[in-house]
Amino acid sequence: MSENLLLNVTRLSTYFYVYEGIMRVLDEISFQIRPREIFGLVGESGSGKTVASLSILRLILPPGRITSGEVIFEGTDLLKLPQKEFSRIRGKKISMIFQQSRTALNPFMKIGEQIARIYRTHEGLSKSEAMEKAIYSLKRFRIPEAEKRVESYPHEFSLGMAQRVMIAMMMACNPRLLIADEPTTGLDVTTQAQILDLMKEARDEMGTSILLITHDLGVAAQTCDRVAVMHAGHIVEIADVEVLYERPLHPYTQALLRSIPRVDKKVRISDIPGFVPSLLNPPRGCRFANRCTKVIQGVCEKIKPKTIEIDRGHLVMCHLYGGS
Amino acid sequence: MSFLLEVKGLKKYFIQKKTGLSWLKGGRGDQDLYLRAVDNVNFEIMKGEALGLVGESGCGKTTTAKCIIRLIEPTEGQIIFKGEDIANLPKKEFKRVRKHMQYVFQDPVGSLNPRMNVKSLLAEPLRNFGISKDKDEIEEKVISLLKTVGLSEEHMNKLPRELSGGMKQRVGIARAIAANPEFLILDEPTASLDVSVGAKILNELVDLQRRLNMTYLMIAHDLSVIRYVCNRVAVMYLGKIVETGNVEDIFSDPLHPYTEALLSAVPIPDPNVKTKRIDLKGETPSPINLPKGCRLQNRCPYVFSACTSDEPELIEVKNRHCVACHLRTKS
Repeated sequence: MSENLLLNVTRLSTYFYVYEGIMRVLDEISFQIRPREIFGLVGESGSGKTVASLSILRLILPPGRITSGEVIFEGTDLLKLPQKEFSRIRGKKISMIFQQSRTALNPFMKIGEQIARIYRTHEGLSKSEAMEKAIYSLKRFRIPEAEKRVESYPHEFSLGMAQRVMIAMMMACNPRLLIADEPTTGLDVTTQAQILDLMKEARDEMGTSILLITHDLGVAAQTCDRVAVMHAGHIVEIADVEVLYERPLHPYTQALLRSIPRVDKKVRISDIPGFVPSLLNPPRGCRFANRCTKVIQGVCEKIKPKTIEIDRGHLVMCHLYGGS
Repeated sequence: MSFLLEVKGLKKYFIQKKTGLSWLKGGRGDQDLYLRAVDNVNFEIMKGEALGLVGESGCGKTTTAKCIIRLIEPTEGQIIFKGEDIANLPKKEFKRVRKHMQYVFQDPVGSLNPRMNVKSLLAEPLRNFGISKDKDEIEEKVISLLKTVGLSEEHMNKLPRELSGGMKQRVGIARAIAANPEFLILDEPTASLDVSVGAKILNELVDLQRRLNMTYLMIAHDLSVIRYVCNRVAVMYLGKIVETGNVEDIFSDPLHPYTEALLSAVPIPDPNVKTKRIDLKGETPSPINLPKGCRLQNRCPYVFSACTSDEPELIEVKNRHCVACHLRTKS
């Protein structure tokens, strides 16, 4: 079983130790990513999507700390690796693109040089070889006039182009896993569609698995193979994309899908009343209990539901489906 | 037909004074450059209608809206509100009209004064437009306003920072409807909100429009939001309106290639529905250096000779469905 997995995250918890107490931002989340798979992590703001991705890359800074769990990548636990060895994996085998790519790029360095540095660091190429490869990688991701554009600085690119440069850069070493944190938020829909196509292409051609973090259920539906829904630091449901949108089981997933208007037909939408509970001293039971319409009094608020597999690969964390 | 608002030939050019470096932006260096943010825009809204203004970022949606309530002074054109041209009214007289047209800003955080509590934020328009001077009456009105937008009395003494994003946006809406305006401009009212909260705001907007028979101009880049709230749509590209029509017509049968591409790029939250993508190549040209002819010519998949020489005009092809494209109008 485990040899079929690229990434296996088990019971990963990340807490933030702030003045007011402990924020349980990630609470024992588990998920698996298979080779050549686009895995979506969806949820509203503050649900812990970004912290999950940063935890995998060990980019959590104090007061945050990864308190427990395992992140097994190709058989090794990333959380236990010494810093030096981990640096060799991050950027080469696992890479990440961020939401605002123009701020993630170094504003004082030419694009070509920034990409070439990756080849020099991770593959030990010479300066001219690295630059040649940089031009090639820009071409691969359809940056027009790549030979000229390597001489440009990040501010000379439009947002969509900068995002493409970022993808080219992160795909430079043919990583096994690409983590994309809201890669298209803030872009226009037409540009968004192009960027998502590029990412799918990268998966098809190079077999890279992608962890796509997004708040947009439309993007997830059209891009991902499997999707996990996050709510207040828990993964409440994981399923194949068709199953999740057709037969959502968790009341939160159901409510979320009912709250989005559609462009292809007229639907009635309804909101989710109430608020996400504070992650400082969160409720002991289900964190959706106070907003849930199907709450079981006396059970949901008190006991944390277990994650159970309803169908093959369809996991849900809810008392409605037993398991307590 | 009687229109509540008619916009005729609206233009807004931002001048970039000549400098030694103007040639960098495509000028000759010895002349001023004009950034044509809004370039000859025409549309009309009937009473009780909700018009959605869509387009990519930088196409001039917000500038158009701000010109209408003159937060930005238009360069040229007529803005006829209830039969009166308000584009050149003196500031003092404009205030009388301004009472009937209000604006909900995109950024709920930046548009609320952080040092004013909710009560004084909502009392300000009531005092400003002379609706009420009596303290108790104002308080009563503030409470009823809060209830209209789904907040309650307890929020009255809160400061903006104590409210969530959704609540802030609702205060913004409450402030805009305080003076009982006939016309409301909504600039991306849900863009900064989570879907579950955005859904509530959208439902409230639909409900408000029905109850108070309000007229909306709603700006959004998200077409599904427009479909949910509006009954008319105007699609903008690079400072021009390229297509207008009823929501159902535009969404089911878009005539302009740009509208078509825009609609086909929206990801649908259903993995079983795959749209056939119409891809626009390249990038939007700079609004300083506009090409001769149609502005979409460098990206349009159907481009032909007429597109590079003449600029297409917005022409009515069906009932209240207008399009600015040589493909539809020259044949």
